[in-house]
Amino acid sequence: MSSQLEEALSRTLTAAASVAPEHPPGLLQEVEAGHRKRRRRGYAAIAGVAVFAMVGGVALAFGGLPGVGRGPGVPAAQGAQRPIEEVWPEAYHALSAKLDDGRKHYPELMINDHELLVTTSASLEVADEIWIIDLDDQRARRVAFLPEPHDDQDLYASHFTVGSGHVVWWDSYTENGKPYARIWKAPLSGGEPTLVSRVSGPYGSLDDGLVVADGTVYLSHSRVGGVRQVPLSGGEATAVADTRGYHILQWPWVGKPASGPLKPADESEGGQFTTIRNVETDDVREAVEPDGVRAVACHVTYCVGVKADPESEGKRELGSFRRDGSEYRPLSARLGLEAIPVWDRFLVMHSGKGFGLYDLKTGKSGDFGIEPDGDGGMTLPRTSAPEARLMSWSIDDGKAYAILDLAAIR
Amino acid sequence: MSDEASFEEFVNTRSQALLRYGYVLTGDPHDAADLLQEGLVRLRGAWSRVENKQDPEGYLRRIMARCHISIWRRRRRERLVGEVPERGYTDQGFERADDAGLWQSLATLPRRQRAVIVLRYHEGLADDEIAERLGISCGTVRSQAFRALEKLRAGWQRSDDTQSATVTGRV
Repeated sequence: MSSQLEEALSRTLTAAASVAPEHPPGLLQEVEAGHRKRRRRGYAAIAGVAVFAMVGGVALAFGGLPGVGRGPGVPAAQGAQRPIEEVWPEAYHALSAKLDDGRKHYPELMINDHELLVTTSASLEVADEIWIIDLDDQRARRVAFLPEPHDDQDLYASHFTVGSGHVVWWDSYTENGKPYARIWKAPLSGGEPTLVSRVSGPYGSLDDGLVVADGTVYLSHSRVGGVRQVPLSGGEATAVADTRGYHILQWPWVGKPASGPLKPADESEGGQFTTIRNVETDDVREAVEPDGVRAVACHVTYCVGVKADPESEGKRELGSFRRDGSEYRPLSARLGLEAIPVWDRFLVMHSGKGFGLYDLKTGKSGDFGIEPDGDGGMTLPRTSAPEARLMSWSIDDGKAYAILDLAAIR
Repeated sequence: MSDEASFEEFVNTRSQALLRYGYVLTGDPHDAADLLQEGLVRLRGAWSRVENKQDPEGYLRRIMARCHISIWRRRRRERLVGEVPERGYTDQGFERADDAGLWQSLATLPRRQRAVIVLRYHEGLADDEIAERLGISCGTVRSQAFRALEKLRAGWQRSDDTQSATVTGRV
């Protein structure tokens, strides 16, 4: 326990646990009844059953959950989804998880159609070096050593992004009780990291948006929003006009409310990124909700929403639609990651045995091939941000990564 | 012991502790009961496999945590909160008034942040254990904890300052 707040949290939670209600009588009977009911309905033990739904004329096999409405369709056997590497071979790469020197690396982002930026770690989650791996020949080169962490570091180097020939990232630390974020850059051709800017903020956290475009770094604050800009060559950050409360979605689109830590008040205002604005053209687009559908989250083109199931009180149907309100399609599965479509067209969904990727544009789906380990745990596919074109996940018992370049999917 | 008998014994001996866990995760007695029941139904389906691992409780705690932060429960929660105001707990259990305030502040956190806080400060898990339990990366655990603590600190310090000013007359 390092602070009074942390001690108070521990004390508070212990006290609250002591006044928890008694478990209801008949719990065991209800559990057994629920278990039998699901077994009859064919639910798998962990992640629900795979059901087929006709979405855009393409059959999907995804897991369902009680309480989640299903789209039209008929039950089918599990395992009907094809592996991702077979569905999208043009976008799939398998890559050793170690560099030639034996150190493990962590995929961060695709910087073009064949180069992957990765980091290595000095210790858990503390990145110490940036490398680029060419997926064509799997050769790696070091781009930079990361600066030593600050004495009072809060968050280590995070949110790597590239543009204008540089890799840019941020970290944060506290000094004299005040939080700061630092924006760093290093040339992709290799070289020493240099400080672009140091910004103060209520919490020193920038993690919902950091992009580089045309020699300028744009950033937005995860808590309060508002887009700021600073020349990549260095300088003070200044506000971008008329972006108060907005968060970067996919440059030059900014939107609100944002992903990240939503306040309850934000949630009552609607789903994430239902309002977006193009900073360059001032084009504003609101999500149009189809009849009976409430938007949960949107990217620039596609949204995810929930619809009350008229046939069953309390159940809701998950669906996708275009921002203009057209093409509503039910989805018969739980979301596996964020509701904001990744790369503006993909959703990670729970499948019968693990996770699947669903392409909202084509209706195709593929299975990640991630299975629960012996204890039922599993490692989720990883994506750094909604605008990121990379998805990566461990394969071959952690010895390798599967790399999926979403931008390569036509 | 048959599957049914061993499962029954597990439920009888552990459900109250697990309900407490559900309660600090959700902050709501009804949600806690729902979460426990959902977790137990899933555990029942996997019992023959999980029991042999000697840690069915760890498995169930993981199911409950992940289920709690899934979007379906989050959306449902909004509806419930809209209909049923949060109950105050200022009158029971807490040693200090500001702890009660902290409990209420916890209710304003997004679910994933709250889960990280509960697992870290109530369950005493390390960040890599939290990451495994929630199925998220360690970096996400750290950033979620960071944001949650900042938010809680802001409200807590205000409450603390107010209390100090009242007691000592200092501002």
